[in-house]
Amino acid sequence: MKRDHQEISGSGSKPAESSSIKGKLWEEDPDAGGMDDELLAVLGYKVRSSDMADVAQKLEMLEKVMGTAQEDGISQLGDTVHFNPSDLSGWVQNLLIEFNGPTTTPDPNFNDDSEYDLRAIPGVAAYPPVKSDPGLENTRKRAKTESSSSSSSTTTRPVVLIDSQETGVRLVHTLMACAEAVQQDNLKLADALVKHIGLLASSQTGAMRKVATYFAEALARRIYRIFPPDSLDPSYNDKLQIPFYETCPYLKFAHFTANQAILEAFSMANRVHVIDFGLKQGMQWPALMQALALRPGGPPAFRLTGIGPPQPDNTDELQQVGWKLAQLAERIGIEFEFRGFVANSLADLEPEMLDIRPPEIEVVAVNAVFELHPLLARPGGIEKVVSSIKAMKPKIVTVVEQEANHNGPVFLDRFTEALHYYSTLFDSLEGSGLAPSSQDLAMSELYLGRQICNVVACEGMDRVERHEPLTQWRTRMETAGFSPVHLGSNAYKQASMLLALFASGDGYRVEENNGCLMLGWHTRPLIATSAWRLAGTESGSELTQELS
Amino acid sequence: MKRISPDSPSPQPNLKRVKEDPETGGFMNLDENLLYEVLKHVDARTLAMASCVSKLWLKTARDERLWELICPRHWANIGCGTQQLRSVVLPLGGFRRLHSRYLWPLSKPQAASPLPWAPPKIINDKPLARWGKDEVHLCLSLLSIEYYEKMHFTSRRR
Repeated sequence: MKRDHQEISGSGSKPAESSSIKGKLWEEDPDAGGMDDELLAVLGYKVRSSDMADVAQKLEMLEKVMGTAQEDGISQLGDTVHFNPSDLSGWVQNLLIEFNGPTTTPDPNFNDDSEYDLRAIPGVAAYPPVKSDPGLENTRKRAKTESSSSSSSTTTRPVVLIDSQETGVRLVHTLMACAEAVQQDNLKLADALVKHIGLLASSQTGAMRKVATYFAEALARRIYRIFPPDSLDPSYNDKLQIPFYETCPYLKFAHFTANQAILEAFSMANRVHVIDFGLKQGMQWPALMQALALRPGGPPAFRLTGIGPPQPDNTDELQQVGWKLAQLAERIGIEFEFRGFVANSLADLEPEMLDIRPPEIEVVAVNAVFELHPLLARPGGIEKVVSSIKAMKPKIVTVVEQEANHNGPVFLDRFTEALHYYSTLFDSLEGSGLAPSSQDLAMSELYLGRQICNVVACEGMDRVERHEPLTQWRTRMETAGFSPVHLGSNAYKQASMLLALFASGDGYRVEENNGCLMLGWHTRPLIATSAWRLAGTESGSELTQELS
Repeated sequence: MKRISPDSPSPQPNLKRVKEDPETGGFMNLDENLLYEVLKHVDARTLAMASCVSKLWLKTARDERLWELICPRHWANIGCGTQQLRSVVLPLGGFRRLHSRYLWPLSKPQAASPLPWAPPKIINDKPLARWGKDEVHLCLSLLSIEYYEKMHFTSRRR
């Protein structure tokens, strides 16, 4: 991609090391793989051996540049303050930028991090006449002796950052350019660009910054082929969903709208059976049980089958959740039965295992909240599951999925879509009114960040976040032999009221779309709930609006 | 008509516990049962304020039966019997909680947001004239979720 300005290739360590997997957001993780150079470590500078060549090269350039400046100031400085010794290369590149920029004043945007703001260093030593640090001098000498000869240089040109908004635009362009480079398999260019993204991202604030950082990390992982180690651990994801449930209304919306459809399907039944494809913490079911308990004429017998992934520590999470739900059921006077099934994938499930009783005895509902899209990663996965669902003879199937197209064949398209989608999501989180330091908020962002990582960095069977829009799911369900069930006006009203109560940001919008309900932020729909029945069967109580 | 509440032995000791304030006179010395009778007729806001008066008043105003009277006073028929409702609401946290955490906030006007469905208008900060079935069911659901969260997550913190 052509540029008019010049750029410094930043350290690759910043995007790759930042946050997500360990759950720390803004601190660099010094143990994030790779060996630290021991000599520098003794001095307190943490520089990966793999980065040494890079750092050394930059230090050489710095020396060259500083050589033209006044020298007398440097030797007199005995002790200085060196901020954040662990980010040596980032700091150096900042100096280079400040040196090489033309007569512009130092970029005020770098005030974001004190480690970059040399004006924070007391005394005139650091700023303005000569921006240097004798600590750097010592390191420089060491680094020179230790480093290998200067590596083949990636083109390094200084960058001029003018203002935050333009930086924001530039950030998006750089992200896109990097993705394009990856698409074209131009990994060298992509590498240079991804380092630059980290730099640009640091000049932003809020949602933009977080999104850019996550995408940069995901791109870096894709380029360097460092895949997240626990991407295959779905139980971790389940736990991260709890704070996500608390901080924003998406999951609540999903549960409420699905429950409404299930309630209506259950209206005349004496024994009901819900099969939950992803039980997690069971947060969806207390409300359904309460509603069943208050049914005119009394509650039916309620049976719940919960499916979940294997737990890494072998605890029986499903049974614990089932037990809690049983206690709740007892308190409100519902006959309750629970079974849990551990499965690595829904495709492993056989309907016979679930002990489904005939439709004359019990009415079955199948519930899948964000559980169907991972099946698209395996050939035949979704077909197998859909046929299993049909074999269960459900009266209603409730499906909630992300309203986005992250499963296209072209990487660049997926990337662009994901960038828009997650930017909107993060914006809505920001508008949630929670304190930025709230732990729940941080965990929610981590939850989304892992999805971003999966969409961008993974491929093949590892790429499980294969979101598809409602139109595609509709086609799929209809082809498989299901007919849509319209979610009634009750569901719409409840959803709207829910937002009124819970969403402190008023950007949320509930939309009805051909009988399905979508929740979005401003004009962008983000999740969609739909309900289905087997084609050719009766729809049940769509018309009996007894709850209205 | 006497109503025996399990905690208080007899009316006499109650009267002794209540402080005598010469300015407000005898009203502060109301027998607990009599107070209960009076509070049966007030609205939610008054009942809540009553709990700020004194310890006796606090105890009486928190009586679930009073809140059970207040809640359905303003809502449409939700289709289930009183006993059925009571058997669900009481174990999940009670009517007072249902009202203060969910019914009341839902009835207040939302400041700036133009919702697709507009909440009922409030005049002079008085409580909502009537809650519809959907509002009530939503509030009941939220009550049950809150109960479950407390039960589920408290026990997980070992």
